[in-house]
Amino acid sequence: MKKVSKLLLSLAALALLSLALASHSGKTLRMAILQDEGTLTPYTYQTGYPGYELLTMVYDTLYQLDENLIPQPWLAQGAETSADGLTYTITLKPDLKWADGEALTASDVAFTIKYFQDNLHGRFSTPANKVAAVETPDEQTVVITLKAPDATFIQNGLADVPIIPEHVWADVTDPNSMVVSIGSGPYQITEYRTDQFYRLTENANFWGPKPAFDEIITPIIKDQTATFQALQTGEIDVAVRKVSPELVERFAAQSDLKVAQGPGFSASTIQIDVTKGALANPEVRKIMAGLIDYEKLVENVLLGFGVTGGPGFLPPAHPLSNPNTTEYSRYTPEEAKQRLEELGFSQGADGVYVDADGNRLEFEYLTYSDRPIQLRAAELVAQDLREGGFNIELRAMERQALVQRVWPDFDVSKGRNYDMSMVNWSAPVAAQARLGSMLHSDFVTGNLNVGGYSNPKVDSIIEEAAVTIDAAKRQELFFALQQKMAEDIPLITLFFEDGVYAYRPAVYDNWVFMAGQGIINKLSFLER
Amino acid sequence: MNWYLGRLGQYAIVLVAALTLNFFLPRAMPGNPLQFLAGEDVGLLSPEQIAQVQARYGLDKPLWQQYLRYLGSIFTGNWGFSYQAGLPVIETILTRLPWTLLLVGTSLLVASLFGVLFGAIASWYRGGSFDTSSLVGSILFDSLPTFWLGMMLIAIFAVELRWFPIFGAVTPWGPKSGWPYIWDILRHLVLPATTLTLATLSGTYLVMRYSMLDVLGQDYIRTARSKGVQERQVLLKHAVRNALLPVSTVIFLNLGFLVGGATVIETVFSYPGIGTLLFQAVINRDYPVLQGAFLVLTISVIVANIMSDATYPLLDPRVRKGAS
Repeated sequence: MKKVSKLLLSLAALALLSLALASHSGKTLRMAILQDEGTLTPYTYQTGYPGYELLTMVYDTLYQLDENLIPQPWLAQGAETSADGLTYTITLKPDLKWADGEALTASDVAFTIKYFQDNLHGRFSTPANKVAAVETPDEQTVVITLKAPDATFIQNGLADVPIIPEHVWADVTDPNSMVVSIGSGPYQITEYRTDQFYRLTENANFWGPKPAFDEIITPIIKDQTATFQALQTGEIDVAVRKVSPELVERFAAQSDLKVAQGPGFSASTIQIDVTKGALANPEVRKIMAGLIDYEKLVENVLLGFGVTGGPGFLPPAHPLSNPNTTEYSRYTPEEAKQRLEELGFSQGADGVYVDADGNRLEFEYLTYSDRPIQLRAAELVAQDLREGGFNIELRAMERQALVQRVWPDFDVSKGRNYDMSMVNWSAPVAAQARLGSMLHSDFVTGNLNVGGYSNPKVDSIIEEAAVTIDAAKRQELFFALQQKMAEDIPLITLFFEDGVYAYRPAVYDNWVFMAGQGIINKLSFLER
Repeated sequence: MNWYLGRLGQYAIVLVAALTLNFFLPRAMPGNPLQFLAGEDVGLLSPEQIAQVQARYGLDKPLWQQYLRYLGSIFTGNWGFSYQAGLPVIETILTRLPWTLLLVGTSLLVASLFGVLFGAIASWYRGGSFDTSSLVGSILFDSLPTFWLGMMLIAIFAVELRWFPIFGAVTPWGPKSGWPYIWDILRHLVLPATTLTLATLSGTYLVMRYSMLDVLGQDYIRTARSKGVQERQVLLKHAVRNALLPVSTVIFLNLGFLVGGATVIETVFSYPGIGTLLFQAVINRDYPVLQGAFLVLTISVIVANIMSDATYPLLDPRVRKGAS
């Protein structure tokens, strides 16, 4: 408690200071968030969205993704990559400062990498562990040497890992109970009330573009209805929550509200245990994928606010998406049944097909009980499959219980216990094109491969792509990979929900829609 | 004296059983807290790294060792850190406790007062229009889903009429001290407390009503009336006082659940209480918080029971005689 109040005091002092220094436009943004995000340090923030976005308002990265997801130099002035792709020589911008006034130097960067190597963090330790050595020839230069060439290092590492101040973290042995949050970003936390709100105040020492607000206050509103009612009555100015399809028209019609819409990268997929019975047969999976009416899902479930999925997984808006693998080849129920008969299945008494040994094409299909969109989609999918001679038993489950069957302990080496399951992959999976994680047969490389998919040819393409720095060559490999996915159907991608956000334009109308991620991102909170 | 000792012995057994359940029930749920221990991208970790995380929190130890550690921690007062918030469990509970006490306490008080009042009036004029309408009303509010009731109140009084705020316990950008601050807190309290009161009123009301009807049929009421005691006196001195006995038990029991919060209402109104803390902890498998919050709840229920047991003989001389 003492530590916390001391922190609050020093934060309050900082706040006063920055208030005194900042020009007084008096602009405040009231932005509803979903839940408590802890003390909002790199180790204690809670959610990938919007927690990470809030974190990046307080902390800076060496690179920053622009609205097209291309990494641009941020704390870094630029980086030189050696010909072998192993060494990155990064020059920092001059005169960088932490919010408390201390200088931000190359040694903070080196410290950050070392700290994430020594203290495990799910997101930031992975890129940090790719680093073999860090040198700091002078205060403004960092030389990072990787263990192996990595085409994604700038995007997933330099543009993702928040740089932390050595003078604050040097003695912290238990980062998970860290309460002091000092960064170099445009805002700093000046008030935090558990489960109620955060107050972010402009950081007077920020080196970059001017923050768009003096103050951002983020009340925590847990209930969806209450969130949008608060937006309608003007109690808040914007919500990080996506507007559900049925509310979009109502908001668009309200004159003091505006709706921002763009492609979303969060994917609704059917993961399949591809090692199990008839599901191990890619031809059967192809028939299943071909029976699903994707347009109907987008039309009825998303009310048109979304994009249909394809066998190549990556959404059409993604730069690495192969244009030939954005649509599944489709079957009518009759064609599907005919195809099943060609494969040696025959129709049983109740219309469900059976193989030569009498095994029925009967599968349990898991879905999240707390996500209406996935639940509705699963019902429609099950109906499509039943018409094609399958028997599908739908089972809605609590989130953790579902994860425990599909992805026990988040460790694919522990196997799985399901037939088919709705799995919602968060935006970064598609945004960072983590096809390798989803498909490689090795438990470490393929750590998102929850279906047990294994194909040596695919493995070798993934391994080659991982060390290919040349952009054109890399795209070629990704296209080939997606072609393989269309042949094997390791998973079925149903759709990508659009990002739809509502806000009060009278308060602020300068939002940046980051592809696949929406309007709540660091760039939106800076003047341009 | 022996009677009290025997009771205390029973409570000790209940406490141990409850503490054991508090430990094992959360762990019996499928899933685990890994995602909140290692951050959101836990899927990227290698099996060795996952094992490392589990070891750091002692989750790799056999269950019985974890259990012993847990029992020890209860008495040392070191309840550990919330997996989710990274704050000491005691702190996460203490920051929410005042709000829960305010919300649940207010509505318990109001619901008890009105429950007793309505129950007494209804049974006194049994079969009258007040009796019928209050009975129907209480059953109606009891059967309405609480979240729906809350949302209706928000829609009418916060969105349409704009009399009250929609969410939270205070206005984040509002006053921070003095009367304006207290006024702000009260304004935020009205809708959730009203919802909770409406949802819980029927309990006290029904017990009071039936208890009164029972008492009114007793010989001593007839005796009192036949010896010419005024109706007012009969009602207040003879009927209500005796009818309050079972009601006091109900109120004491409710008092025990005071610290449990009101999950649904806290969610609908984004009120920062223990209820939503518990709910989030269940979803996230945040074992230390679950244990801590349930421990507080267990103790408070037991204390309320002890208080109820201890005061009952004071309220009712018959129990006193029977025990000695």
